[in-house]
Amino acid sequence: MKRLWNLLISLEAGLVLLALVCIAMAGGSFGLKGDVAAAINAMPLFAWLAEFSLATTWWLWLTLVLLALLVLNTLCCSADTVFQRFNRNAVLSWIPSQLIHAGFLLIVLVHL
Amino acid sequence: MQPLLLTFTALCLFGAFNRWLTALGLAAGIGYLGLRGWSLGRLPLVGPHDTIAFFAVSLAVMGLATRLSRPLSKAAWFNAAVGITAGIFGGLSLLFPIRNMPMPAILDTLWFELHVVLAFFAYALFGVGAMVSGGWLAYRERALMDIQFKTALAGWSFFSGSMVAGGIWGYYAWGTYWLWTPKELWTSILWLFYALLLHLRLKGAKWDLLSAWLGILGFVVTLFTYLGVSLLMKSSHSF
Repeated sequence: MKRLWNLLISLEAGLVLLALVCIAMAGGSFGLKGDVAAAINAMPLFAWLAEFSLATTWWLWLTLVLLALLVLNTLCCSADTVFQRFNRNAVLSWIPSQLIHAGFLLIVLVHL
Repeated sequence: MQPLLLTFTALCLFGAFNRWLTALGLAAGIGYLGLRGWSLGRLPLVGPHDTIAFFAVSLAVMGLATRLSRPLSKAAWFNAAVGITAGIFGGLSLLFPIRNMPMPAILDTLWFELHVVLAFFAYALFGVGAMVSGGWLAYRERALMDIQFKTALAGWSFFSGSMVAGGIWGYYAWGTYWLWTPKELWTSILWLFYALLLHLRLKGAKWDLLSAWLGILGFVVTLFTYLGVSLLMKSSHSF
């Protein structure tokens, strides 16, 4: 259990996930044209994912999975940091970074 | 007006060894943007000529501001890098035709201007960060990585503000905060990339080499997001 928690709060995991999300989105950007591009903005996201083949939508599936893992990583890191620094009475030092984490989580949430 | 932009380009390129000449060039660049804005009745932020000129002047502003920091106060290489880069983009803007059109109705909101201005300040800071990263690779002074981090953090903050303003503008213009187009994807990539770079600092000085190379790669991603996507790909922000 401790090993799983350490993985969830791992900075390295966050860095790797950020890099992979960038690569997945970059790969997808080159295929986003024509009917495929028109359709993605005209229908709900999961309807678009179901409508087109995996050869077209792979990058968005991958991005969604990676973003879900990144959200989990962000939540766990924030919880761990807040708990540890709250115990050390260092609240002011974590507020700016945790606000940004909260902003990131909010942006992902409103896309659902 | 164009002689002012030519003066900016020439002083940045050929006066790059001297910060006062760069500052004089910057004054000419600001003068050009001011007069052009005055004649148009709006900020000159539409089309490749205006945006590249704005980017070039932003680079000079951010570069000279960053040069005020102690580790760079006597760094001639940094002044040269800022001057030459700003001069190249100033010259590049001259290659594109000047469009004297009124602001299209879809762009006629303060959210658009805020979105673009903040984005170019961010791009300029990412460019300055790349130059500082190059300086670290050459001189290996730890203080340079502190400056690289600060420029990335300031640029990322501007960029975050730009994305918020862009979302609000998009809602007015298209009825949605987000569109799936290459420009939006690459904008998100750029934001996530610099989030990665900022988090990398938590790993400590042993990771400075990777951080420096990512600082340079970040400017490549920036240029592709700005110019590559707008010129080469069909998107909501095509020129």
